Amino acid sequence: MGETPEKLYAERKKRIDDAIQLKKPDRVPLFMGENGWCLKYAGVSWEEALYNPEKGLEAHKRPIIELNWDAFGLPWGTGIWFPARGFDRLDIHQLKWPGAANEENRIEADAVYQFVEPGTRGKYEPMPAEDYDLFLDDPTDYIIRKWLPTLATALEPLGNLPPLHNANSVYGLGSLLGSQDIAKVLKTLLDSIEDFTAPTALLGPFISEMIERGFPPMYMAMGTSPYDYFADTMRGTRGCMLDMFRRPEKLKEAIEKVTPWCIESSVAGARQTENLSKIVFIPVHKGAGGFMSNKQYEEFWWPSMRQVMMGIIDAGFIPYLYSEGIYTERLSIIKDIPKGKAIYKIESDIFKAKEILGDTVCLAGGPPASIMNSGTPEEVKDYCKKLIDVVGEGGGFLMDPAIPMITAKVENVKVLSEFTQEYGVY
Amino acid sequence: MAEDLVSMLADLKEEEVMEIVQKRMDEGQDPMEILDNARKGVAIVGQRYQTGEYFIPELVYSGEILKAIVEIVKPKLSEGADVKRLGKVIIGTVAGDIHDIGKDIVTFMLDVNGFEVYDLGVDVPAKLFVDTIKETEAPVVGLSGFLTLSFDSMKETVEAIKAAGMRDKVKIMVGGGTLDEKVGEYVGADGFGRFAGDAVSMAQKWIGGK
Repeated sequence: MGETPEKLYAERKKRIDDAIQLKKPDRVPLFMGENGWCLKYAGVSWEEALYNPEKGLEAHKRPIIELNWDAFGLPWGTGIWFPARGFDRLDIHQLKWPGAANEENRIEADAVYQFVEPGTRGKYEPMPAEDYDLFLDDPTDYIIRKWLPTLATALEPLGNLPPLHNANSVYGLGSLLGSQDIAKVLKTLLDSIEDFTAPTALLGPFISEMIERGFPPMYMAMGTSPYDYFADTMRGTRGCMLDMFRRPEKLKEAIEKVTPWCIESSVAGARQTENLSKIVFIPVHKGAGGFMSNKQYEEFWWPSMRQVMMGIIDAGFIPYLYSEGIYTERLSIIKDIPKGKAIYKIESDIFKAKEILGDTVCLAGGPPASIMNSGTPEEVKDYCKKLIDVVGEGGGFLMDPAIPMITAKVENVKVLSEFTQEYGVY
Repeated sequence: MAEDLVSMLADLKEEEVMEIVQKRMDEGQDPMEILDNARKGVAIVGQRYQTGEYFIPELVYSGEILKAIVEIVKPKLSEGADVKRLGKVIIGTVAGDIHDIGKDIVTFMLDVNGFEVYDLGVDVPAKLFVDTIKETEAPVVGLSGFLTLSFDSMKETVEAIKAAGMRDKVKIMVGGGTLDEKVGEYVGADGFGRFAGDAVSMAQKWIGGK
């Protein structure tokens, strides 16, 4: 104790950097990426945290500071990450969250916000399969005039706009700007500006404060999988599954189309925040085990994801792939990445991951949800010991329990934090 | 031709399947028999899923093909004609959680294995489970959940069933997301299943049908 924040910052940063480069740090780094648990710790409900970003942010900081974690991330679970007031104003259909103004969007006050599958709620319909060609022909026009109108009531008038490629001259532009529809949309957006900018404005001071306190940022940029670009929203989980059989070439063509954009947006985000962190966080969903066979994974999911990760690595940044769900059967496939250049967060069998990927990527993970939510502190300790002994062996391990942590028992997370700092020393 | 339909559907040859169905309908064959063949094909898809040969996309695809077949044969089906069912199972994603992929797979597997499934959807309040047990007298209830908040929702649902005095009338199975045996015990269920096939085995054990 008694170390200066500058020294703590440097120590923590080196601890994380060493783990990523598969070296042995002074001890296992400790971080909680999806720090929604902070709300339980601080006694703040999800509804409060989403609608009162200041309050959410205060809650977010507390465990990082009080339990001495080694880094902070983007303030997930607060109104900064999730500008609920803005979503209300636009009447977004893609999500359900606590406290939503529209009853159709609302879930109980202390539940985490959740995504809705297209086709299961009102006007939020999947992109029709016949529209692949329209999308491929002019994706941005498609997104603005066909897709956005399905996402939110306030964006519906965009569906009446003339094709945007006609706005090449003052005449085209004039007819576009003269339309009542665009006026309606712009007015709502203008009215909602504060709803979006006010929470975002809290981010800068938060980052500065945490750095001054000696905590380095883990990641500030985000990325996505090209398959998930379609399966998470536009075509939906089921839509993409059917496309693998009914129109595999179209699905592949669409994935190829968006892959360079996925690289571009990740790299652009990373460059913007380069002085804070080089890590790009990529949570992925629809390539999980069970969601497709390894054969389908290798045909439809992995090649474009690998391209995105290589694009990030080639630009000098570090992809942090968070494989939500079961990933055990994919481990040998995702090993095809340069050594010491990536972090893989594993929710499933991380011990198996150590065997297969231990010499290639830094692994991140923690005890399973059942132990964290319904187990005893002793069980947490035993599991952490096993994680540190086996997965932490030789370095290359980051204690970063995943999303299922958000409802964990308070004493269990405290024990996890203390034990990792004590027993995790190399 | 009956065998063709069964095996073509099991192999997910959509075009061929639809041609056979249309041809058999044109020939005036019994629509109930066509539907029965189709169901057999889908049941094979379910078996292949259980053995790891097929995955969720194949289940979804076979379900879509079956739906298209039903569209064609339905207008010719006589009222009340339906397959005999082994027993009733109530299923739903518990309160606070709106995830449905896992639940839908279990529904599919129970259905193709001959159970009559009452799917209550997502974010299902405990009371609706209780009311549906009363109404249907189903002996098996399946609680699904993806998020960890579902652990306590499941516990509350089990307690509500107990409070309604029906705990000894039903067997309760749980599954989904990050659940495991330990969570099964925590919520007070009679069984936990990691795979959709486990739900079928449990229902067969509790209701019969194997």
